[in-house]
Amino acid sequence: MADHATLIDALSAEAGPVRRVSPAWVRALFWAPLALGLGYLATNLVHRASTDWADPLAFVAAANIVVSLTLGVAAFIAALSVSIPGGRVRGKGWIAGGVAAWLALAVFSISLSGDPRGVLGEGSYCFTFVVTAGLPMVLVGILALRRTRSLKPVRSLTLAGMGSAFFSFGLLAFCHPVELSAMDFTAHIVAGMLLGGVAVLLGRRIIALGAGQGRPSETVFNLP
Amino acid sequence: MPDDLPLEDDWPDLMRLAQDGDQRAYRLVLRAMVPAIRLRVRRRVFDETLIEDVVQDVLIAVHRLRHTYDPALPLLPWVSAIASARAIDALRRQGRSRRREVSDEAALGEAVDARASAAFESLDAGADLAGLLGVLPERQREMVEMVKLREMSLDAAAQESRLSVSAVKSLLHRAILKLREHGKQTHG
Repeated sequence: MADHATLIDALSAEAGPVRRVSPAWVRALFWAPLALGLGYLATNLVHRASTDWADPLAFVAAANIVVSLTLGVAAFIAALSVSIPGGRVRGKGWIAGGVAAWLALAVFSISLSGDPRGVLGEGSYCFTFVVTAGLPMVLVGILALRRTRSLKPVRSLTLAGMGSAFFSFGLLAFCHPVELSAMDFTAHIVAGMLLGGVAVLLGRRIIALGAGQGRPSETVFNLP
Repeated sequence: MPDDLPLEDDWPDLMRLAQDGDQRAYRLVLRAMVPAIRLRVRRRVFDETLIEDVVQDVLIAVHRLRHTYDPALPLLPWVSAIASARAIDALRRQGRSRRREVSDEAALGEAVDARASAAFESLDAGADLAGLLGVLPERQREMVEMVKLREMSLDAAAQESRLSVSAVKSLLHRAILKLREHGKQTHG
């Protein structure tokens, strides 16, 4: 049976001090506002109308903003947690509750609409807004995950994409009527899923711990 | 566990020291972890020839990810997660390569890897050959000697080494890859 002494000696010989990663929530305190800020700046590229805060139902938009941004932060923390070996998503119940609340708000908004079903093409503005705001956030998410890498890159990146999507929904709620059609809502969901897909496609190779990577150069590992 | 290896309770402290750059502590904790890693890899990988490769892969992953370990937590769950993920990755890679490869025992027995043969032929002295084979693990070296030097068939090599033909092929394949890698490092 091999004792891997040669490899261990080689790894030890090149092992310098490393900076430990902070807990996921601490890292999220830095990365989430950065993502949100860049996402907000990106929305300058699209026309923004302001929500009518004098509307008696404006509390729905306010609730949507709070729930969306909270879910965005939670998803970002989850992405950073999962990227650590053995890391788990904490507070899954709370996240599921938040998603349920977010869906309930969407259903309530649809019920307020004069045309709950909507027409094909409706929501293209929202789609563009969510994707435009979300793309820089996805890049920030990948950057945040790059330091720790991930043994489960697809899971980490899906969560990062989900975080970006909810941040984008939160920003969208600042400039979206309270009423919502099902078609419009579908556009939101499709845009969110697209962000998740883009995060996985762009980041998978970047954050994955590839096979055989990291072998110290000029070293042959001899299995006795 | 040998007497000179630290107990599991001491691993987090040693890893913390390793994170701070203590190479002796790092060597100790890596050596101590090997049996635990092997045990976890064995739960998922049943190919004996692959297990030691995965253990090596896990050690490299531990090295690359050592900054993600929190010394306030036990080390074993962290290592176990790495071992499990790397074992699954190795099985996936093996599955992919098996899907791509055609298994033809007779043809493989006759066919000789042209680049590997060229490398052997270019060696003009026994010392060079011994040095080249010296980079290989014992099992892989045996297979190269049997099949490439003594020109035994795969069946005969498998019989003599008490391994399956597929295990012999796997060892030969890895040996050739390692020799190529060694050739690139030493000859550019």
